[in-house]
Amino acid sequence: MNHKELITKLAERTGLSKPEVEKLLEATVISIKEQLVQGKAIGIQSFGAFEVRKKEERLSVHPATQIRTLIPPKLAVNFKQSSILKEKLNG
Amino acid sequence: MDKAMSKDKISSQEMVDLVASKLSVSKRVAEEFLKSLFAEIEEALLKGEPVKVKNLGTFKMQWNEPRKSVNVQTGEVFVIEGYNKVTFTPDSELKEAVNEPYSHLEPVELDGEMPDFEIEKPVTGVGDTLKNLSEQASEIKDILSEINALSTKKTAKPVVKEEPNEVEAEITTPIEIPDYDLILLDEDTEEQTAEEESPVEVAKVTEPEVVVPPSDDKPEELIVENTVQKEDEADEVIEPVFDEPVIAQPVVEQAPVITDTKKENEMENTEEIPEKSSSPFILGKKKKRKGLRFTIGLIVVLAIVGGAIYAVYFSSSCFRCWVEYDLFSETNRQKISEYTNTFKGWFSSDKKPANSNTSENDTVAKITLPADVANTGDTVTETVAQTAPKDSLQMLFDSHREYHEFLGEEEIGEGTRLTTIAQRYYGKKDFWVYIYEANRDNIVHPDRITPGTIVKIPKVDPRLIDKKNPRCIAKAKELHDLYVGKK
Repeated sequence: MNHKELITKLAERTGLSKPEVEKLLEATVISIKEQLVQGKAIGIQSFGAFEVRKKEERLSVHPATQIRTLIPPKLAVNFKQSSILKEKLNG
Repeated sequence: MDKAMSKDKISSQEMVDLVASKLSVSKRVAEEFLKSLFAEIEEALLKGEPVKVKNLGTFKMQWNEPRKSVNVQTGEVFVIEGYNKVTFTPDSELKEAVNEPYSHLEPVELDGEMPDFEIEKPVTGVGDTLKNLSEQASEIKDILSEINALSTKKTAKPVVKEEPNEVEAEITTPIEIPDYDLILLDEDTEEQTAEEESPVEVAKVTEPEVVVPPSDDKPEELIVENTVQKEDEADEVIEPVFDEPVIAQPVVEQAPVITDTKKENEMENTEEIPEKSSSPFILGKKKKRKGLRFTIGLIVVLAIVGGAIYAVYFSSSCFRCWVEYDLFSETNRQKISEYTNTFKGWFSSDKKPANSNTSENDTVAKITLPADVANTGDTVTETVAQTAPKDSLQMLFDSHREYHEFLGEEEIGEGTRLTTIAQRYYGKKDFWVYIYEANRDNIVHPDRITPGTIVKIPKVDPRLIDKKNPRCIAKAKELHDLYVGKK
């Protein structure tokens, strides 16, 4: 389901108009983004949590050329599903 | 491995507040929306459908295969059943925004080489190297003096005295430390006197040291000793040792890296002599590789340059002209005849001996044949059976010219000159003589042309009017002199 479809479905579900839903969705996304950029984690009840994790730098070897590359450290977004969600998925 | 960046966790409620404040909508609306949103995503995922949210990312359901695992307490193996998992891949925008603090970093290729901090040390002259070493020596001396206090110097001394040849054994033992101390003492005479070492003693200690360590350590050792010896009063030892640094120095300067590395290693770890060989080996290899690459590159460059020169030499018409011009001097005509005979042998000789018109190019072709057959092309086959040593171009010059084909006509006006006409048609003023020749019935004297005369521009044999051929120009000038009578 892509973005557009999601908006359509949400509009249906909530009864709000599409532009409104669009705005709301945008605001949600931006809020999540802002918090993540600040390094804070976000938890959605019964759904899951978004958090920022630091990945240390590492040495990786290209299997064919055997060139060693030093990959720099980075911050990445990580999502962890809630156990409730997991159970639902594996009912 | 991964670390969570913050302990701060924003709850669902807080999210509601954030969204509400952003859009200035009521909290209830925001709450409803958020609930619906994630419910919707859940639904889709339960159906197995991925959900893509713009600027955020994609939620997908992923199936994990059952796998074996061990109960850490009981040690029993058990199976983790297969399960579905919600995975989220962030959008590139989100990724970049989150990675801002580290955004400037790029992956670095190492090429399998060790980072070489040693190389960064500047390659200095002899005196400086020694100075460096002595500085280092004095620094480390402090450390060693501490160790010195602990170790038994007394026992080391007699051992060394009695069995100078077996210092080898000593070196690998901790007792060697006092030896180093003696060696490294350069400026600190206090320590020297405190230990009551005689210069001879030092000499004895150091000399076996020269012999004993493995050969690749030698240059370094010698330098160390040299440092010491300089300030030392052991005259008897100084001279032979001094000779060696002279030899050692070029070795050092060639491979300062190796020396420095070894120096460092040796200074820091007196006990680890056998290990030293590993790092210089690797560095030597690397250096060799670098040196090897350099030589290969150099050879390639030279080959390219050589090829370029070769090409230029043989393809340049200027050069060809030059070659022709020279070769047709008396001295080289014999050589030419030789060449012609050889070439005659190579090709079929059923062509009639071409004279005058076709022959003029054969010697040209012969000379350039090895280099540039393509250019001369058909002229080569044409001029096969030439044996005449006399230059064919010369013959063409000498032959009587008759013009039957004309390129056009020009009317001579007041200021019209044959030279300008020639320039236009043939590309060189000098070739006006051929125009004159073609119009002799019409023109009495080249200087006196009646205005209104119509001159016919002949089609001249291109080989005669090759403006790039200095011989052609010379011939034209000859004719000029002839006709204008300025001889």
